[in-house]
Amino acid sequence: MAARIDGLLSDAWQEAEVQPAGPADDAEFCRRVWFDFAGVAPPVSVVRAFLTDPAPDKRDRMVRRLLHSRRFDHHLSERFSELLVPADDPAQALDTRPLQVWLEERFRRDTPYDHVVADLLVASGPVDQGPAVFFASRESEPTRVATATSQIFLGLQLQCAQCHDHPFDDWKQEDFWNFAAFFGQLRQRAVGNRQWVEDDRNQQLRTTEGTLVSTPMYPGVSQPPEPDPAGLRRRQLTIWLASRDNPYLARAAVNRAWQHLFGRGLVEPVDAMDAYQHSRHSQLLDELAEYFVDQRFDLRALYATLAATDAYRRSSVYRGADRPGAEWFAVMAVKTLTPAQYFDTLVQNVWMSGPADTGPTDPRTSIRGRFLTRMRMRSATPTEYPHGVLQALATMNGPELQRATMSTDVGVLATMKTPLFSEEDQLDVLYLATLSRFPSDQERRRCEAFLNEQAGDNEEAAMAIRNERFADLLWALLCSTECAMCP
Amino acid sequence: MHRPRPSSRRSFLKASLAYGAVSAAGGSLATSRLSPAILRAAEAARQQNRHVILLWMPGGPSQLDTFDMKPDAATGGPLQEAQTNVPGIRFSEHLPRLAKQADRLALLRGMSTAEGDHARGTTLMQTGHPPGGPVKYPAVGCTLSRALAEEAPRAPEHDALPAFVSIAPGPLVQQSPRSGFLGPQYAPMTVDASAPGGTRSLAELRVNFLDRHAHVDPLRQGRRVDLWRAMQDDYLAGRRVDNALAHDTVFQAALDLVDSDAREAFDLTQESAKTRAAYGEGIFGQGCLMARRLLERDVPLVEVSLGNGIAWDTHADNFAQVRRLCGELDQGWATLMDQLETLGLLESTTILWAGEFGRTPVINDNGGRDHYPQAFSCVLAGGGVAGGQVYGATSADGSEVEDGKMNAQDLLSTLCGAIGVSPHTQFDTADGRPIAIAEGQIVRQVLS
Repeated sequence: MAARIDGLLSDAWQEAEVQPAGPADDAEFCRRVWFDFAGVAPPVSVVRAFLTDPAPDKRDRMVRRLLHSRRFDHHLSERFSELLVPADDPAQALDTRPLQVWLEERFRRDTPYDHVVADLLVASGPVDQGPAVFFASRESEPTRVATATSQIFLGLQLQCAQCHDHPFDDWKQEDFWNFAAFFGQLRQRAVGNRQWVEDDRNQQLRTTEGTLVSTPMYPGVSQPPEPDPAGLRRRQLTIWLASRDNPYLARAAVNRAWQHLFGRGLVEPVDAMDAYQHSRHSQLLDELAEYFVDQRFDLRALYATLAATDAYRRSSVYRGADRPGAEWFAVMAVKTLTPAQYFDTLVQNVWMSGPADTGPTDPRTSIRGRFLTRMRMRSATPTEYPHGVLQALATMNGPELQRATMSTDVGVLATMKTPLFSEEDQLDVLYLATLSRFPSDQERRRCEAFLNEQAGDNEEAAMAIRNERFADLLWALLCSTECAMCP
Repeated sequence: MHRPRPSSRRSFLKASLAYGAVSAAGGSLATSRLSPAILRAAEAARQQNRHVILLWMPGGPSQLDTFDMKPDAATGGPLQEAQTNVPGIRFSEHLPRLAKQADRLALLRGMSTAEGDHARGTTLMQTGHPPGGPVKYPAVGCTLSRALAEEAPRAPEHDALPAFVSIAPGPLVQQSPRSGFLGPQYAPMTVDASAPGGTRSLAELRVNFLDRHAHVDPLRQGRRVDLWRAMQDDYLAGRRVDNALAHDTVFQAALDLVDSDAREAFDLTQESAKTRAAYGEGIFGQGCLMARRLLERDVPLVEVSLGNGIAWDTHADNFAQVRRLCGELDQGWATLMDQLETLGLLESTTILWAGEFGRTPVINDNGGRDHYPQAFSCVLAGGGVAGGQVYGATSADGSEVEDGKMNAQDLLSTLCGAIGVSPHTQFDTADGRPIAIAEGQIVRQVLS
């Protein structure tokens, strides 16, 4: 399948005379695959080992190792949980840890994706104990849940038809309300001091105009659904959702996986694929969706296939003036790190203080949580940069970089003092920790000049100046665009 | 991507202007007490650049207890109307200072939309479009500040300031689309605020993390930044893509701001106690003062929100709440217009007062008024506005618009008209689709 993907892409390039970029070098690939699959930059020792490994299949082995690691399950569950319950609203930030744990368990057990979605959509119970938070984050309001479900799992913008017929696509108001009716039995109530999500079989959906929506209908299907034996609407939905008759679920899933690795979906936007047939890569999308279904919705297999393509192993550097547009996937996209990816890398490689926020701390109030809150912006695609001047100020002048650069007695700066280290070694460590690569010869010369331009009066003063210069170099690296991006 | 370079004419002009002492000296608001430097600077700004102030009222202010009162209706409520300085125009007696400047106001009483939900209404009124749909429309503050900044480049000493500053936006505004498809470089810089209380007699407004780490002196910062810049140029040479370039632009702008004198605009302690008191001690009043300081430094667009959160959402105890909010509104807004007039800036500054919707004529059991988008009021004031008039009218009980109906698009188009920016000015989405700032009817009657 990987070869087929590359074939279809290169056919498209030939037609449009697009010149693809060359392959990524080992360091670029290593940083990319770690961010994508582990959610963090590779540790310094890993990059070193990878770069010196002469084995020709080392890239495949790295992908395989990461794909089957707990880190992958964790990162994927974090991504999914952000997608399901966006943290756009700090005021009503819900605790999504139980949801994340729930997802991670399923990913670890290789639960097929369609089952995960079906289990999620019929979830009931206390909001603070599992997947029901998905509904609670939309106040269990049928139209809002329907909107989220169609965008996230079907890639459809049915809700545009909520108040008027959809301007671009084929959906009618009726389609939206008939879909929302699957969630018409949803009810949320307080039991003690916790919220519960449940179904009320006697409850029916009414449109804004007050019309009763008695029969739910699957989008794009003209036959009414088979009744559920217990009369549960949500379960009725999941029967179709996971069936071969539903073309949307697999298509939306592979498009999102593609966006995860390539920075943008084969069809954009990923939550509005309604008119995907007219898109450039519709054939590729269809074949990939079919492959995913054939693989029984196995996410790990899907990711392994995508990561095996030449397209995924291409460089994001393009020195020519006519860099092909991102929609061709002829040059790898530069993906903006999420605040979590940046922070976790800082902790692992610069603070070197072990994994942050494991254990019982509420992630919303921890050091990590405070950083994420400060950097929080509306959801953006990986090829956008969603932050403004305030977040830049908070990064460059904030407590995290202060901790990293103020004292040379802690973190990566402390390792500079090892007497065995030459200046060359020291520069290597700073570059590997922040950018996952060795400095180029030119960078080495620039840094050496920077470190040595001011002499001290005595040995102690000279040492103090050098320490300060190393801290400055680290600060500049941590504020650099390269450090904020997945290559 | 890069901010426009100032023209040589501008550089010449600014070379003759000293912005050193910016506060209204001595605390008097009279022209004679302002330093000549300020007056010259203000004069230059007046001649050159146009400005917008958005007074945003989160929660949805009650038109029936402010600018479109119905004293004869059964549901008119207990608050009283008063005569203004324009014969025939009456509004709330709790806006006494604005009443003396009614000749600067155009009351739009025919606003009508279909969005009665806070989030949806905020998006509609801020962008002109309801939420949802494939295009992420930007807020008018973002499009207008971009248009104004591109039209008239700013002086080098002010170039570090953002084109759009939003003071104390509540959660509703912060979650609304803001810069949308324009991208983050056109998003506003937000100023956080803490209300007076405890040892604070005045609200405190601040931009967080504006100071370098304490252990870094300017010389050392300079070294760091030079090294950083060299790294950036290397990296971007091979990766000229939007997100990388935006990161670079945003960080460069932040670095410029940290080391720029222009950041004094955010320092209200440079104002006399009397001036600060004149605006009112609360967040809105102090925000209006900061807006004036930003306008003096050529920031094209400032948004000031009243009521941290959704204060105007008066489902209960509407009348006491509105009365209290009016006190804050009146003092901040009236003082702002007075000072802008004194500085010669009012003529080049258009002010829009708006919230996401109005409130019901019906008074509920809690003495409150609920959401009402069908008929409500907005106000335009200042430069480009033919003040001293009412445009549009609602029925006797305020439930319907009977004359001069305007929707969100009409409002934004008219705002553009007042500023002198064509509402048809287009900006491209990422996939190259040109989108106009607004496509409504300009209500020419309210323009001067």
